[in-house]
Amino acid sequence: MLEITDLHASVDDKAILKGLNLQIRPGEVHAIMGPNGSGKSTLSHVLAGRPGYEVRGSIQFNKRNLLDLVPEERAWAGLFLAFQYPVEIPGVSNANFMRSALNQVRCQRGLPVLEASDFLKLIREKAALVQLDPSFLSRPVNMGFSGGEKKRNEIFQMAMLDPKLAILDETDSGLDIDALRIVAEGVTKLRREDNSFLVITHYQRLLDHLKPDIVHVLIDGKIMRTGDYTLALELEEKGYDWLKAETV
Amino acid sequence: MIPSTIPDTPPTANWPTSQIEAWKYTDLRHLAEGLLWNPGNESLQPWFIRPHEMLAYFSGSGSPKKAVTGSDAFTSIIHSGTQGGWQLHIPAGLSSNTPLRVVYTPVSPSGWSAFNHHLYVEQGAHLTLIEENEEEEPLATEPMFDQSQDAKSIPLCTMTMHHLQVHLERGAELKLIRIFRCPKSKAFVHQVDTHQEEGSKLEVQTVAMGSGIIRNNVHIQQRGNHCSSGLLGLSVAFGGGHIDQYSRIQHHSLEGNSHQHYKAIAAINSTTIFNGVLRVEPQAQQTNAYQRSSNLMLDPAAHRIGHKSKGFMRPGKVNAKPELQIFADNVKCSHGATVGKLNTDSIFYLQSRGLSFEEAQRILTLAFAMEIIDQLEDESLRSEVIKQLDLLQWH
Repeated sequence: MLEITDLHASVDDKAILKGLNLQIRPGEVHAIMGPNGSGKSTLSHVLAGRPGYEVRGSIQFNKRNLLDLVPEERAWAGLFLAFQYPVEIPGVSNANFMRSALNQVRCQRGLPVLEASDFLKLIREKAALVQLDPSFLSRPVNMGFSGGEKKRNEIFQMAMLDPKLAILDETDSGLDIDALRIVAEGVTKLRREDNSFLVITHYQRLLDHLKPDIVHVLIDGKIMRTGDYTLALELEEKGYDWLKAETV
Repeated sequence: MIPSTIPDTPPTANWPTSQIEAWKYTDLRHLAEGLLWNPGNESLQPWFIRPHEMLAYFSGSGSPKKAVTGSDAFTSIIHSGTQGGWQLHIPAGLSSNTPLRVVYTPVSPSGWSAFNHHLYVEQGAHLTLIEENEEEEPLATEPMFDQSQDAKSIPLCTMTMHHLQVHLERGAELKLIRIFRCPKSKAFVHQVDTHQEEGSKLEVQTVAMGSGIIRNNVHIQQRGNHCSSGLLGLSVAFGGGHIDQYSRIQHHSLEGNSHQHYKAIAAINSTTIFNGVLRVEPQAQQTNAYQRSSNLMLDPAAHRIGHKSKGFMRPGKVNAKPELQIFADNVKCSHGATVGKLNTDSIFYLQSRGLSFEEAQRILTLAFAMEIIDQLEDESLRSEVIKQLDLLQWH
């Protein structure tokens, strides 16, 4: 599904990703852990096509060269990024925003535009998945939402757009224990054999819920170690320093 | 309906030029160059009024009960060249829930035309008046990111000027809601001069959009105590359009209040102007006045067509000029002006959800305008404005 080969990314001549390799197959959940400043968020931004990065290397996504695509084309192709810091958009209601986005995505994927009643049904169903109050649908996107509501809104949007690969960029940060459980359960319900997740996190707690198939450790712009779920437990116990020491 | 004061010979009055501070950004003499004056005649009546039953209120031709004409350059030119106008008299105590709608239809011959209207609202009467101008070609056909030249450098084929003089008696209330549109190679100039007596309330809401030239003057004299005036404005200039919103509020009496909120969107190659003059005279103690101007510039560098276009592109241009002249010492007056571009993080956020770059820009720009549109006092106008903006071509 996703194959990243020798990926380099820099901002203002400062190298952040330094030859990253990563492969994700359909149905897999991957976790990326790593200390602050190791390039985790940069990786998610580069995958989603955020402007401002100088990028080299190759990213193949379902046999397409992702780096040739503009951000919306990546979304149409089935990529989704749940933002670490979701953006507030005054004047645009959640429901209208989602209707425009979903119809655009469906249109590009060759699906018919949803009727208003079907859209309403879908939006209620997906909101219930992350226990978002239906009243938020008429509120402007993320305006006045609490940290937890914003993150739940990201997962709600993900559920609406039904991506092939979803990147969760520190979706667990800023969540209380209950919200974390709700988000994790929502994600778990969306898992299928034909979709994949890339979960960026600092903490093992989210991974306890999500049970990733593969855990990577990103240090200084490169994947330093890859293992199964037990690697996350080891990191929780020992921290990153022993891996950093190995790097040197 | 046509006053008998129509001049037979073309007027020779001096046009306001950019030498006059109030006309700094829109030089009428320059714009009028090469345009001939349209002499008026009985059959020329380029406006109609709805609903028809309200016509009963017309006082017909003849001189108005009380004129509030100023003596500035614009009023002198408009009065020397006037081709008539409507007059409306709302009797004391009358209040109607049905808004009255004045529609200005296009003046057919090329050249410049001037009209002079009077509205007199007697004691305690309430009125909502909608003013709008019709254009032969819908603006919807105009691309938002047209690469054409500045409207000021294209010779005009018509310039239409309206002067509306309003008198609000004690306790009278008027809501004046307008949509002015102007396509390329045309200019539309409107000035309302309002005289407010004690306890009267005025709301003036103006949406101005187009790729031509629009100048909208709102002049208010608060002559009586406890007057209130609210001004709301939205300018959307595109395709080289030039939209200049000018306000001048003079507080002469005690405990008056005025609030103004203008928003403007200047698309590529287009210009918007807000110039708000607020004058608080020495006797106007306890005045409470507030003025806010928020402006959005669209930028070709942020826009993809910037990369493939060959034509001339410059970012939207915004002039915001608050002028506060305060001669009373016990007043509360404030103002604020902001100019910005669309937030790139917001654009990226919308794109990441599958909305195209152009669609993201369109949504964010409309969202910026919605704050004003939501406050328009007439439902049909709100949907009309949204429809117009929705139809603009963003691609």
